[in-house]
Amino acid sequence: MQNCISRRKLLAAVGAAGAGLALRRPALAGAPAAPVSIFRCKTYGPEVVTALDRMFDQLGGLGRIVKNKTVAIKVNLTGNVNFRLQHLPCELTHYTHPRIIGAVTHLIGRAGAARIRILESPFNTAEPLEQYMMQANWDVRAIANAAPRVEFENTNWLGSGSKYSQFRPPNGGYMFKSYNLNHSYEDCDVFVSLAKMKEHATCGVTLSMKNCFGMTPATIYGDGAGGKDEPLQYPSGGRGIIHEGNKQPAGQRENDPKSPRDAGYRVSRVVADLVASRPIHLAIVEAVQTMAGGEGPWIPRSRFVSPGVIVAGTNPVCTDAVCTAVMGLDPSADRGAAPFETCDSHLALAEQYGVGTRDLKRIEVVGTPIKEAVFPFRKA
Amino acid sequence: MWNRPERGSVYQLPDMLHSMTDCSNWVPMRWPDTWRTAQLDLLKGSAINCLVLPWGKEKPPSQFLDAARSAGLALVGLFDPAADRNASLESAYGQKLDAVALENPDGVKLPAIAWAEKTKLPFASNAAAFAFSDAVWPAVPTRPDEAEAGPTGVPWVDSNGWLIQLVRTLAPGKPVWSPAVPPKTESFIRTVQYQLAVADAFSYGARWVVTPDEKLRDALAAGKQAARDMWGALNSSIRFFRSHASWEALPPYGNIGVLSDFSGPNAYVSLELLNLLPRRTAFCVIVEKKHAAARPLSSLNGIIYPDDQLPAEPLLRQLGAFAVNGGVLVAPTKWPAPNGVAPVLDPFKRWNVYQVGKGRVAIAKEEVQDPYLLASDAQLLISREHDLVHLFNSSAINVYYTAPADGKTAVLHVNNYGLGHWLGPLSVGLTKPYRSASMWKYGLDKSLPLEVIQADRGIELHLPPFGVYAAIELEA
Repeated sequence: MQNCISRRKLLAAVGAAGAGLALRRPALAGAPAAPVSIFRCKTYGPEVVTALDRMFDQLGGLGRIVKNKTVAIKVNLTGNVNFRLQHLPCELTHYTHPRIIGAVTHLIGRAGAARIRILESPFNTAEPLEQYMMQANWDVRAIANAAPRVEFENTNWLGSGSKYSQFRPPNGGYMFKSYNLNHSYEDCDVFVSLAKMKEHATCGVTLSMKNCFGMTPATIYGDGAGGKDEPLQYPSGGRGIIHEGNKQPAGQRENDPKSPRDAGYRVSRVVADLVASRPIHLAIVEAVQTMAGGEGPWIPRSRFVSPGVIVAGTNPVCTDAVCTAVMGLDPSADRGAAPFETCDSHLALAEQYGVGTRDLKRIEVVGTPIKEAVFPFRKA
Repeated sequence: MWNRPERGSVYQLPDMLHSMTDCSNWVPMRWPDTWRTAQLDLLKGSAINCLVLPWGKEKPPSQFLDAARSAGLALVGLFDPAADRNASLESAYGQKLDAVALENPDGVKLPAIAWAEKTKLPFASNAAAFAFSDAVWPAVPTRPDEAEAGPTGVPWVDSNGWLIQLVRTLAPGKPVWSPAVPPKTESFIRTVQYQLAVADAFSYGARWVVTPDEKLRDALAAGKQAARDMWGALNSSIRFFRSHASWEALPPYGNIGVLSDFSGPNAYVSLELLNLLPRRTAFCVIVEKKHAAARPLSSLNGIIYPDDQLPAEPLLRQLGAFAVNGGVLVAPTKWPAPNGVAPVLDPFKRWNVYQVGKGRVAIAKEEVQDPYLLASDAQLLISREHDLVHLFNSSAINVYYTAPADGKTAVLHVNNYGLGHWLGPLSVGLTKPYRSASMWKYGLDKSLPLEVIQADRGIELHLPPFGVYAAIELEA
């Protein structure tokens, strides 16, 4: 898998860098770089399949990544399905659009994947994921029939597994030594983050890496699980205890209980921990239509926008750096500068782990150049 | 769906009403004990035409009764259970009341309104109307001792709609009264709260027994203009529903049957189920066990049978056939497992699910004690794919879906228990592809046309702001 870092290689590389030291460096010069594809796509019509097909070709083809593999696709369905920005369907503003999910599923299936599993931890529920999607009035059969052997799993709880899978970030992790996730994140050969391009009130931007924050099951990291010794049977609440640090997740203790109780410090580190311990092999960020001003309709002054662009790459840091630039923002910014005015940059934290570089000069952009795709979110 | 006319079902209500006592047209008000004859003037030109009077040791004087009668008001004596029943009856006969309201109407020679707690209502009696004395004040409860949100984070709401639907099913053709009483609060009850109380009863085809709280009744008696304005708005809300009386006759439209005797040991789970399903936007029709054989079930996607006891053999076979023909039967632990079929587990491992013919039978692995789990599991077992309505930004909204037998039209009653608090503007998705839609709300003389927006599954309607109540008229 060219341009993909396996989990084993990553752990070996970071471990060799020495615990602690690597984390404090401003950047890891040797952080890998990989090409990122940008494609203009104005609608969610059939052109979506054409666009993604071209993009995957530009990245070297899907077959080399997914053929005969079990592929897990983490989509972004943040917040309560009931909650809309005005009358706009969730998929036009803050959810990964079902036609993008269907198109990616179709293309991965066509490229020879043995099994495709669509994953998400929908807000505060253990309902089967496909049933949750139906609440959004989606045609779930269209996704299920987009390829052979398509499965869905709600990863907000134990789900169909018998135990949680443990993921250990390099060097003991920024926030936690390990994260306990639904088995689906381990029981796959290839992991795809299929995200929506948005700003984020806590993390500055939410792209392929921040999408992975939603892997954390609310049975352990949910508000109702806070301070418990064992995971809850069913999800309870949002993930406020990670944001605020007012309680510890069920059965877990953070590395430094005296670390800041500031969401801008904590969530960024958890995101970096997660993407370092559960590598992303294919990052896809869609912004055919989306929202500016925040990650969901609950953010005041958020608004509907139509950037008409899709970005994809095999390295999530590189992909998110290019996305950030497409949004008219600076991926090399650190805390205090847009878009990270009140938080640490999870792009920088992941870069320091050696996941990938955020240095645009080192990232080859294929397809549409950034300057032609740029859509300044802050001015929209 | 559930749209075939049949004998005794609620949608024959208008014909039956005309053949019954006049109480079908009464709009009752509980007469405040501090009001006197002079306050009868407040009812001039109002929608209220019936007074519910205390009828125990204390009774209104004859002069008041005469004055009320002269004003064209029907008089109903509400019995005090602590008072002597025979003496109260003799007095009612002597004063020529139009009706009496009491727990047990047996042997009463006047039209009687059965007035009792919901589980004690005598449906087998010859009562002219039914009133459930434990009606709740419609609201999002804020009592500190109660949870404000259910397990999905959806706010809990107190509503009488489900109970009205049940009483109308168990007592077909009989008027239903909802005597909800405003809570005692430090502040004034607001106009929108009264408007919601009206909608919570009338939109489900019942009457709210109008009951002003102490502050309003005192302010009205004192002639305060703000109170008169509030009283005017309340009466205007009632007149709104009276001007759309045809809506009352429309039967509930649903795709999930709840089949029970709704009594005795089965009352708790079955009644809570009726209360909780609408909060999940799951639309149910009520099937009384003893009449189930005569009901057409095939149009339903699923049936929930929550009772612990197995039904008699014919109904057992009927429900088995329902599943074989493509329905989903959600059954209790004692239900016999289908022969020769291996079960699969549901995602929560609480049900053994058997594929039988074109449908499925889901049998509980353990006795169901939590009605909320039953409601949510049943909806998933039947599948949300069959949900008739999707609501967005709907936080504290309940919808009552009604449609005539031919299914060519429908009326969707939308009650906002959040009293005008909104997450955002309400969107309504309907699986059925209606061609036109219009919206009514309080104060409108004609309906507002709504754009019908095609969606992946059916249509969507984007509603303009409407306060606490809206009705959407739909045409296929």
